[in-house]
Amino acid sequence: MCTLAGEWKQWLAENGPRLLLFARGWSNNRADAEDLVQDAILRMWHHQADKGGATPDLPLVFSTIRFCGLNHHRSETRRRKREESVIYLNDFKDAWLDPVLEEDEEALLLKDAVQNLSQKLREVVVMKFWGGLTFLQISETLAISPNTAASRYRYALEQLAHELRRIKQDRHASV
Amino acid sequence: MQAFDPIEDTHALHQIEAALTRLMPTALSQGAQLDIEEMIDGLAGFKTQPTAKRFFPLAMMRRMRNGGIAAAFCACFLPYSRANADICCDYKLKQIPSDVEKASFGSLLKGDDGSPVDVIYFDKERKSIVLDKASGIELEISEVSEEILLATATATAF
Repeated sequence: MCTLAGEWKQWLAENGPRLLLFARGWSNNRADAEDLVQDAILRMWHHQADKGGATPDLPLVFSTIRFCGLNHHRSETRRRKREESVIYLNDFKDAWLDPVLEEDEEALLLKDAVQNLSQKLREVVVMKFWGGLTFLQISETLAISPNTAASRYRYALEQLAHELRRIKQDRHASV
Repeated sequence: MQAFDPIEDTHALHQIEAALTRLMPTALSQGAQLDIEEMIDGLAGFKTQPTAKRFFPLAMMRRMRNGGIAAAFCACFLPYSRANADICCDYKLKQIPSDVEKASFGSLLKGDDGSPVDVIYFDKERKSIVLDKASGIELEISEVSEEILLATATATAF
């Protein structure tokens, strides 16, 4: 019992942040994203029970988070319709990514740019870059072709490069 | 709109990839991490409950052998755990096995369908007293195990 639970906890410690990052794309705030991660892990546990209880492969977990996110999005849309009078406030300090170095201005700019990518592009970047998945694994997770996954990745990088260049030019012009 | 320059473009993409390596995903909050770890503990406990029961006789046999008591008793007693019956010709079960719930506490999990499930842990102690007919010695056998009970949580439970 201890070994199995220990293995899963170790797996969570290693992969929790990248799962959370992916879940952020499917939720409105950090707490919802953490709920998605927990929900996905619960489903994974039951799924893996037939396979000896081993920790799951990341592509499958990403896929499950996506599935949970879609479900959550549906119920959230219904809830919002019921509660139209409520004003939702954004938590502007709530970051998805942190720069490794505090003074890294370029990384700070890029952090916001990644968050502002469209859902389709962002999830490919997250799975490729922070999830370490291959384009083939990403394509299986998203039910798209590997070429589409690769082109989305490249397009996302182009957008990030363009955005970074634009911000730098704006700053240069204002000085 | 800038003219397309494949060399410069590729260079820019490499720069972006290099910059991305300097970003790391934020960690789960401490509360979420603990919640998930507790859930894993609960799931692991629930999953292994039947396994623990399966190993019960083996653990009992090991203890009896260590105590120098006839291993033959185990072979006779374990398959036929009827109360007040002669276990075999040499041994007699004198007392009905009794369960003593020593401690319990609960936690909350999310069930498969999303509904809350209350998890209650029992430290169960099973005691039996057996008489060795030949020597007239009474043996007390104690088996402690953890049991887990899952119950659908209701409003009245809180």
